Amino acid sequence: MLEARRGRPTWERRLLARLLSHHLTAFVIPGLEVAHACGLDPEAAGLSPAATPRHAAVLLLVGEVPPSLAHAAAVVYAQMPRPRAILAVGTDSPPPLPGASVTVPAMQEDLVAAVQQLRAVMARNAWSTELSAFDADHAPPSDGASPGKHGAQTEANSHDMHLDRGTAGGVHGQTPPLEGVDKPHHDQAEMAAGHAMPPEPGTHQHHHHLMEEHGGHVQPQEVDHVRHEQEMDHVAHTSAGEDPGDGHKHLHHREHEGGFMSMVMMTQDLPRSPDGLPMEWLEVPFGPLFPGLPGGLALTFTLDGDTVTRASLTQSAVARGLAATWSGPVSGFPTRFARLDPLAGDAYRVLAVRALEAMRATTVDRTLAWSCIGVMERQRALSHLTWLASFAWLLGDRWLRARAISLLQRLRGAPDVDSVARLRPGVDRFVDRVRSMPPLRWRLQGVGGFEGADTARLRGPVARAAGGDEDARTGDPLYHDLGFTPVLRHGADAWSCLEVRLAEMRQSLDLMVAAGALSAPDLDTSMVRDGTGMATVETPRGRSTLHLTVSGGLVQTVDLDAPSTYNMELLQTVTFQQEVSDALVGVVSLDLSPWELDR
Amino acid sequence: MNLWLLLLILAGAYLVAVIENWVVTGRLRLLAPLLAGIALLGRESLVPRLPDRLLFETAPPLLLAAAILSMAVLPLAPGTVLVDLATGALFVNAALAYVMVAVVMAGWGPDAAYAMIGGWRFLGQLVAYSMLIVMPITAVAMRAQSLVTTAIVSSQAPLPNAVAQPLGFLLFFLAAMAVAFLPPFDLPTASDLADGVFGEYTGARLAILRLARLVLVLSLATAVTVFYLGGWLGPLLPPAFWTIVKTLAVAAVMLLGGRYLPRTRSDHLLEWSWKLGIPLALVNIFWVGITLLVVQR
Amino acid sequence: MTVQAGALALFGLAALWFGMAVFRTHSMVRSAFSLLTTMAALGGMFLAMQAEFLGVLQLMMMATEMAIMAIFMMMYMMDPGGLGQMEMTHQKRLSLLAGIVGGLAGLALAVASAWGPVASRVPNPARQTHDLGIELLGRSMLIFETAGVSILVAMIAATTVVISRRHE
Repeated sequence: MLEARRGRPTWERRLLARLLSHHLTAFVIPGLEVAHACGLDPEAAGLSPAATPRHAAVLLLVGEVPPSLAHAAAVVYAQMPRPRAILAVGTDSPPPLPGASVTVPAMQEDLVAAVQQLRAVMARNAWSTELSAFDADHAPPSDGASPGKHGAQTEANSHDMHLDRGTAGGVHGQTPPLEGVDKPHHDQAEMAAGHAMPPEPGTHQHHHHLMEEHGGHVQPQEVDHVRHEQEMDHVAHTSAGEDPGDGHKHLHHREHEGGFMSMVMMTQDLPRSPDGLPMEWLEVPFGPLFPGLPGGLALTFTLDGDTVTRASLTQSAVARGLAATWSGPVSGFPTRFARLDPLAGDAYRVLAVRALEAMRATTVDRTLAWSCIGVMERQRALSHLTWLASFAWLLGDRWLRARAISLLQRLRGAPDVDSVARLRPGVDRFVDRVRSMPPLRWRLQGVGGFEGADTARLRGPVARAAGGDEDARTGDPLYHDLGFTPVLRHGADAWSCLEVRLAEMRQSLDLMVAAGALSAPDLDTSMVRDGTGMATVETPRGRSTLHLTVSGGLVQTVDLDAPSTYNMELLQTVTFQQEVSDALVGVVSLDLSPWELDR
Repeated sequence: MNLWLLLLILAGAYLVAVIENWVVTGRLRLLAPLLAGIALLGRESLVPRLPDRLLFETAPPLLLAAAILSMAVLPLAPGTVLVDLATGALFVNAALAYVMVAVVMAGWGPDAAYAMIGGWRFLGQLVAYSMLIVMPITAVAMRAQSLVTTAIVSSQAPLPNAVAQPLGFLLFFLAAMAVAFLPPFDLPTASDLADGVFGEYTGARLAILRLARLVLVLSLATAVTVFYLGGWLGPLLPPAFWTIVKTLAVAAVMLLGGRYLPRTRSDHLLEWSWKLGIPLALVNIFWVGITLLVVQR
Repeated sequence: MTVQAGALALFGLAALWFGMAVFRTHSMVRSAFSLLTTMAALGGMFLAMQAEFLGVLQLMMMATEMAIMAIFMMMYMMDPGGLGQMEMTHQKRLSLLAGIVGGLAGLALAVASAWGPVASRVPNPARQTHDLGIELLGRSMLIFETAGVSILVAMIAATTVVISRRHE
């Protein structure tokens, strides 16, 4: 339900509520790119996207929200100022989030209607005398390992990075070297110890912003901000600090010597930056719900000032336990398999279809093959446009984002091949214009470079941006008939990745028109024999291979090789010693799909 | 009189908001900023845990004060100026320096990493724009033989400075966009930093910050008008009208320019401003000096 | 006249207060901003004494400088937020002594010097600016040029030293 502000709904507040309800900003879970991939346009429905939960009024849930992401979403929800509401589209509101105010299926018209409904709800209920406090439950994910690790994980899950104790470097359990001065830390340490061993997982209640502003005077509740989250951070970061090889060392405790502590002595254990200065390094999470990055990508940067020294990825941020769902009857397998990646569902459906088709008793079905090509290329064009839209958000280029989204909508809505052909000149103009804008090239050239990387270990447009001739389509006779050659560039940086994807988008439109089909007919799975099958396709992110074994009409084992696992290896290379925004550009240029990383 | 001018400043800021709305959404909606502002006041004002409370609370009013102060010395019409200082042109800079103080406070205060990085980025941006904001004003003051803003406008009666000192005009325009952290120079409030320094503010404080930013844009547009476009000078129509029209036109161009460009990289910004911008500003001063000496003779 | 004296007293007291706050607070960042407020109060004093150019210049320069110093505090200091309540002062006896001696010396200087008669009329600010300019480029040109060039040389030298060290 709508979480309202505390207060009696007087007439001026009602008026204010009506105004409030017309200006709804939404924070999209898991990310705007998932909303676009589902065919939704929140902006057109009246919800402008927010870059931070503090500026958002609505939490928009789209597609599938896995449990660990739901925990992160709960933290995000807790940070939103009231009145706040949850709008679930095509999904329901999973625990620990409170129930959704409005739930609709995933269609644009339904979204528009839902927004109207939400406006009405908000206008009525923005103020309420009974306050239902939402406690974001910091229940750690299911593994019962050490609480320190849990703390680290939930901290990594939270969108918002709060520096404990206000010290720029003091976040990470850096207990000050002087004994006897750290009274607040003793308290925290005790409380941390107390909460480090929860009686059972899921009981970390932490009391959120129960404070309300009454006429500018802040109530005393906000003073008790010594919260459990903070203790867990303390625990988390001490344990993180003790991890060997972390590179992020504690300050050693020194005995209190007459009150004078030289800075040289205090900093001698700190890691040194390349310019020789000992600074405290911050670990800042950029994910899993960071706007601009793919939703579900739980990235953590170790920052030396505003330069990245280390980047790491938490892979279980979108754990869904899909592997268990894949085994089962053959007939529904492509649909079940397509759940893997909401950003490229059709690509994986085609992959499953091709793998099953390889096991069929009959000869190759040319119609199916052509339509698979059509679907695949459509998915590729849509995926690249979606990627371009979120890339433009990161770059702050409004025009680019607006054009990418409008092209995306038009392509998605194109009912047949002729309308796609009509889109071609518009796409051409767009791509030419983007490539010819010097500011964009200046912004991206040399950023996120991976020059010396071994292209044999890379996949997809990333490999091709480094000159690697790696494309699963080159071996396909049908593609060969269409005169397909892979698009190669040699810059091995963000600009080359952009160029490759733009060129591939153009190429995909041509291939779609040549293939003459936009949707694949259902595979007749009755002819699938028992045994093993294998297929390789070029998904929008790279080559993906699927090995299947079927016995007794049921899929037994599924072995998938996804491109993002390979491109992920470049993470350290593209971010090392880059400024934060350049590092983010580098990461987004890799076009990693966190959904693919979860198996 | 002073009250009227203050109200006029607020009205001007409102019009800038309307223009910004038009640039972003493509539709001209006159009531939208007012309604959005009131709606913002209706939302809860949250305070992060463990902020530096003093700095957190001081930053929004300080930004607003700096913006209004920098506007105060710029004339609307001959004799119509809020504060008539003999060092008016310099005072504009003094007030704009507090923009940086406010942004750094807003970065540090909320105790959040993204905001802090945004504050640091603005420092780099300051190092880039601070010379380019001052040096063109030097050339303008040279022509006017005075730092008084009304004298600067009067000195443009034969020819506006935008035509007489085009290099200075271009540099000042770009530096003004950087001071107001408008796209493509919106480094401190970047969308890739979850709205940076503004990201942790909600409710009334956010409303003050947004208002402050609008007044800042207005003030810089007025500064461009006064220093380079001849302020109130113009045929037929009343002087105040000319100032207002020119200011809004400059604000529209500033807001429009950022729509098509990606955000600059901070290292590029620094490089271009120090390796290209400052030499050009020096050339501008040199050029103006020579022409003045030659013309005076 | 009394308004001016009152403003002067107010700004002076503010300068003293915030100057003390620089050392009383545990937070390094607040310390830097306190120093900024002190300097701004000094600028206010200049304005109250009708030295307009000096006042505006003081306000402008100190704002930028102190904000940059705040960022340096964040970079280099152990506990810029001050929540660790660390003991940041040292050499207490010596600094107390130096403070007392310096304070007495300053007072003695202020009281015992022959400052001359109080100016009954001050040239208007525009005239002051003009006179300052003539002074800078006339009698004091050599001083200011030397100072400016020395600072520039120091900047270039410092940058060169840092760059060459980094290449080692």
